[in-house]
Parts: sequence; C-alpha cells; structure tokens
Amino acid sequence: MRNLFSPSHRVTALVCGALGVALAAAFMGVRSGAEDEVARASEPRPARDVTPALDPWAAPETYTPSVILYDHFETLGVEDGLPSERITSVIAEGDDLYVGTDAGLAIRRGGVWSVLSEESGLAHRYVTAVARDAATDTTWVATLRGISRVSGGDVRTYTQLSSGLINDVVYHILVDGDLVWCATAAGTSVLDTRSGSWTLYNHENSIMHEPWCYSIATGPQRTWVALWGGGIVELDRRDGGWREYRDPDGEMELDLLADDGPIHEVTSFIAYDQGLLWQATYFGMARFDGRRWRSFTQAESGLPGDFVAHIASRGDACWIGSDEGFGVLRGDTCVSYSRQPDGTCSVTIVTDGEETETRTLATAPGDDYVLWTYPRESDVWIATGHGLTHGTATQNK
Amino acid sequence: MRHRRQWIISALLVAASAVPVALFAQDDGEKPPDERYGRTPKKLVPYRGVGEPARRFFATAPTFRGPGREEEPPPDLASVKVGVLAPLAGADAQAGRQMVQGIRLAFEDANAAGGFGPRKLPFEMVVRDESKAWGAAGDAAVELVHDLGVWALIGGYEDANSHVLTRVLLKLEVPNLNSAGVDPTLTEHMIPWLLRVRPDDRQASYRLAQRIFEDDGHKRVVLLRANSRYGRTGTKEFKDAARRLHQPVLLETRYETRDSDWVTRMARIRALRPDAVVFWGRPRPTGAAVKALRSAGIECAIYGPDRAVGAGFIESAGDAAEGFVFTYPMDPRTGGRGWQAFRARYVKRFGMSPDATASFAYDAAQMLVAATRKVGLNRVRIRDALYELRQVDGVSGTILFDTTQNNVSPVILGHIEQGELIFDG
Repeated sequence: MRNLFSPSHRVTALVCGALGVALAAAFMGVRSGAEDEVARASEPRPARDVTPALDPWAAPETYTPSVILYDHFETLGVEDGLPSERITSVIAEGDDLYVGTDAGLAIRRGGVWSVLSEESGLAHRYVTAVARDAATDTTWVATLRGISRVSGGDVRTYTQLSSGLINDVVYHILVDGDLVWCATAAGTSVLDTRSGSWTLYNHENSIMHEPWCYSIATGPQRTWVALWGGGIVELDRRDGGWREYRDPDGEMELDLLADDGPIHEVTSFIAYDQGLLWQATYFGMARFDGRRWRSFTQAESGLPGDFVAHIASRGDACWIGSDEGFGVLRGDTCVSYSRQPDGTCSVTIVTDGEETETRTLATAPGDDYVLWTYPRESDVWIATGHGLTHGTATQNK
Repeated sequence: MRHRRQWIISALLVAASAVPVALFAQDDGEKPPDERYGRTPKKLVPYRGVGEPARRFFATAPTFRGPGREEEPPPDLASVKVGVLAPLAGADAQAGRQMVQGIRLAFEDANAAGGFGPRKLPFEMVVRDESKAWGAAGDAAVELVHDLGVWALIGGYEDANSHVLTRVLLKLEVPNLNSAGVDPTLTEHMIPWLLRVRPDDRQASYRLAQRIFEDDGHKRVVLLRANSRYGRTGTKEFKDAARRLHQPVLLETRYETRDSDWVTRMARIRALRPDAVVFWGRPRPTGAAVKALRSAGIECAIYGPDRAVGAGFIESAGDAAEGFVFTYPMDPRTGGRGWQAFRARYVKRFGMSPDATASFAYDAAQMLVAATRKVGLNRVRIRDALYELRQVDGVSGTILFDTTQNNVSPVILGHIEQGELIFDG
C-alpha cells in the first residue's frame, strides 16, 4: 500500500496528470491501456487542486443559500417507475435522478426511467450509496457486494477479488476530482481513476482506531472518514498526516460534557461544506467549525430523531435523515418534518432548544424512516422507507 | 505502650480491610445495580465523582421504525432457514463446533416438536465459516440473507467479525442473536437488530475486580494481555474498575501469539513485586504466558476471563495453570432450566459435554424458534418479539436483558486444580 498524498507522490501525480492531459488532448478518442484512464482523459477535467495550505475551516463571507422550510411534498413509488419503494440514496441533477433502492439503481433521464439490477451487471441489487461525476457523466454505485461504475451505457463492477476494493460491503462512495473514495466494512479504498491504482487505509496503516468505515467527506486538502467506534479521522492530503476526533470522555454509555467533541464514538455519517464538518450518530449530531464542537439531540435541539442515518450539508445548513423523520438544522434552529397518520405533515421549528412554531402541511414525505436526503437551493429529495419524496417551497423562498 | 501501638495498628488494619467490603455492597439512595447500565456496581460507575454527565445513553431500548412488518413470507417455503456464522477452522474451531452443535440440537428439538406452522416446516441451519479474512462476515451475511433467504442470524464468535456483522444488519434488516461475543462495546450502538445472549467481558471484569481487590485484598496488580483487539477491548472495563477502586494496575504489558522470549517482560513484572497478575488472551498463548510467569519464579495469584481457559490452555500452561482463577458465564454445576436433560441429550448426540458456548447457542436458537412461532415468518416481527424479552430461563441459567438487549447476568468464578476446571460459584 502506498501513501497517495505524500509529497513525492503529489509531485509524481502532478507530472503524470499533466502528461495525461497533454496526451489526451493530442490523441482524443484513441483507446489504449486502461479503460479508466482513456475514458476519463477524453473528458475536460479540472486540474487537481495542489494549492498549498488551504484552510478547510475558513468560513465564507456568505454561505450558499438554501430553503429550509418546505411546504409541499410529492412521493414517487413503484407506479412511477421505481423498482422498489425502499429508497436508500438519491442524487438529483436538474430533472435527472439517480436513485438507489434495495432492488437496484433507478435512473430518470429526460423523464424516462430505467433500472439497473444484477442482471444488468450491477454489483448487487442493494444500493447503499450513489455518487456522480458530472464532468464525465459517470455514476458510481456502492452496494453490499462491491461498487459499479455506470458510464455511457456500460456497467463495470469492482469487487474485493477483482480490484483494490478492501471489502465488498460498501457503505458510502464519493467522487472528488479524479478520486473515488469508498467507505467499506474493513477500511477505506481510494481509486485513482486517472491511473487506475488503488490506495487502502485501515487500522494497520492509518490512525483508524477501528477499520469499520461508514462514510467519507472531502474538503480543501482534507478527507474525513466516519468510523464505527472510532469517531472521525482526518487525512491531510498535503502530507498524508492523520488526525482523529474522538469523544474525550472515552465512554460509550454517556457524554460527559455536551460540546467537548463528537457526541459519540459510533459515527454513522459525516458531511462537510464551507468550513463546517457535521457528524451524524445514532445518539444525535455534532458540528465542528475548526475550533469548537457543538452537539445536538432530539430533546435539546429539536432534531427529528437521535438515530441519524444520513446527513447532507450545504452552506451552513445540514439536512437530516433519521428514523423519526426528516429535518434541517441551521445555526440554533432546527426544522423537523414528521408524517402524521392522516397523511399530513407536522412541522416543528425549534430555536435555541425552545419550540417556536408548529405548522401542519397537507402533504408529507412518504415515510418518517429516512435514509438519505439531497438538498438543493430550493428543493430537496428524500429517500424514505415508502418511496422517494420531493420537497419544495412554493411560498417560503 | 508497645501493646497499645499494636492494638491501634490492628484496629487500623481491621478498618482498612472493611473498606473494600463495602465497595460492591448494595447501594443506598441511588438506583440499584440492576437498573444501572450494564449492572455496574455503584463504585464503578464512570465519572461518578464529578456529577451527572450531560447525556446518558442506552436509557431506552433501540427501536426499529422502518417498514416491513406487513410483509408476508413466500408461499413455497420448504424450511425455515437460519444463518449461522461460526469459526470452523483455526484456533477457535473447537468453540465453533460447540456453537453449531448447540444450535443443531435446538433445531432438532424444535423439529421433533412440530417445526414451524401448520405445514410443520423444519428449522434449517445454514452455516458459514467466519474465520476467513477480516470482514468476510459481512459478505457471508449478505449471501445468507439476500441469496438464501434466512430469517435470522446466529453468531459470530470472534468480536471483530461480530462488529462487521452488526453494522450490516441495519442494511439487511435481519435479527441477529449473538451467543458467544464478549466485547462490551458490541451492543453499544443502538442498532435495533442485535441481541447478545451471554454475559460479556464487562461482567467478567466486575467479578474479577471484586474477587481480586475485595475478596483477595490484592493491591499490586499487573495486567498481561494479548496484543490484539480482544486483549485491548476485553481489559478496558477491568482497568477502569481497578482505577475507580483506587487500585490502578501497576503495569500493562502484552504478548503475541507466538512469543517465546519472555525474559524482559518477566523481569519488569518481577521488579514490581505484584500480588496478582491478570491475563487476557486466547487459551494457548495465555497458557504460554502463565508458564513463563511461573518459570520466572513469580508466585503471585493469577486470574483471567473464561475465554483464556478454553481448549488448549491447560496443555499450554502445564502445571503452571494450578490455582488460576477464572470467570465463567454460567454455572455448569447446576445450569438452568432443563440443564440435566439438555446435557444428557447433548452428550448422547455429539459424544462430548456441552460447554458455555454450546449452552448459550442452544438458548439463542430456542429463543429464535419461540419468537418465530409467536409472530410468524417476518424478520421485523421476529425482531420485535426478541426485543420484548426481558428475562429468559434457559439451559445456561437466567438470561437478563438490559435496554440494549445485552445479557447482564452475573458470571461465576472457578479455579484450576490438578489440571481440571473447578467451578466455585
């Protein structure tokens, strides 16, 4: 195993990258060598960011704006073209959708649905996560039996036996430039799509306390890995150095001080954007701005639930997928959405721990069991246990 | 004057010896131990002296709030398949054999009593070896659930495998009865699909701490443990207990599976003049460590958990094993409900006596059979039925589940005498 981010490898990667781009420009369309390299080089790509000493914790002058108060929900199901109503993940690009389910990957392009399953070459029917490389129009799919790359109608699968994937049970996949990061049951694997090489990280060659990885987040020159039983670890990609964030009290059964670090050692998901790192756990959430930690729970902060399976960050807000509903946290305000037995939606707004407002909407997400959210500026897609829900703000811009 | 001084010293000694007696006594004015997380004795509660923590977790049971309770089973089933993950090769193969045999006997009993449902479907075990590469347990679980359609999983044995298995449960949405794991953190996550049927190393640590510091009055204790995940996670609760009793271990040192040169470590241990050495590791390497301790002329008391005295320990330690005090997760002298009949059937069926691993595996399988018969073939409803259990009287004894559905029954002590495991209660 090699350190992809050591200074020597950075120089090598830079030189190789420049050569690759030059060659691709000269021989556009000519296929030779690894399929990955050619497929990637034929697309215009941003150069890898090698600017020294970027501060991942620098706050922007203004955060990316997003609606957090939605007033209308519509849910898609099997009748609309999905292979199952157990939705596990979703990505939206314009009107196109890439939807992970327990029965394959559903893609809606140009209003037309298609489904990829094991019969179509997908690694496994249970899709745990989806990632998109919009620059090359490639979809990366994490499953319980490896990962698949869907590009130009072709499906290529990578498994523990056929590639550098460290384990076939893949919980999260993320595209960051040329790199595809995979959080697996036995460590993190990174595929460099330019060279086709893999880098592996686990408890034997990194600071990971345990190798059981749940999710990945990337920011300026940093990668964070969510660990089961090990908090969060941070890789500084400039020099390959590691740092870990753990709950300082060292006990699983309690949180001694509220805002002294991650809220718990079992991190179920992480997300990063614009200087804020978010931690999801099965005990609540935490936020880190580079200096201070702040933790949030259902009882104290109005989260929809403490069992948080997924979070997505955008600007200074964080979208929450819990087993008791969906919500958005921004600053000290949390908006929680909960489906009522009559199909309406109860909206609760909590600020500084105090309930400040409740609303009832005529429509609600398909289910309160939420495994994934995908927020955009004025809408959100929600993966639920009963269908794929689209939340919009018709009045609350 | 001299007599008076002796009298005062004697009185002080009596008073000092009385202090630890109170450590594990029933607490006053606070929750009784049964209501505290992990049945933790009052003196061993983390951060007890600094006030109430900001948050206490595991106060309520994990709940599965997802869909699936309405789903019906396929109509053409020929059996009720249950996946079993056990070590079938390597150092833990003997334990894996006992585990599989315990489950097999439980299913044979269930099938003799009519199997499942009006069609009398037999309960069928589908066994997979967990002792392959680390992480293989997850792949095996995916195969068992998605390809073979098992209704529940029993296993694993090695805790690293069990952790991998536990994480994938949330995706597979299948109940998992763990009958052999000892890592206290295995159930500390709120994933609502896992039950642990045997007491863990937390209970073993509490019992050892009570014996070593209270009953035997030792003060200079050294920890000699395997340089492995099992050695690390197993000893955490013991070290915490020792520190909270103001008797922190003097030295924690480690051994590898194939260590042969013990001179430096034993010299360090001897220099500390320990009253006791606590061992934590697999049977054969631990036996070698015990032998090295005695060969170095260190004659202090020796202790360890049940897994240390498994198959191969006495052969490895030889005469040095004499007097080794160990914990055990059940009392094989009396067992629990139906113990004698179970033991007789087991001996007749497999030609060997059941150990704790076999007994807890049998109880886990019996619990699963009962839950399935109660609610039918639906994984979520089976899970719900298993999570309703608070106390189960099994062949292994009384199983007490806490809010995390972890068995927190107290463990017993035993010692090795003339090459035999003697159980003391």
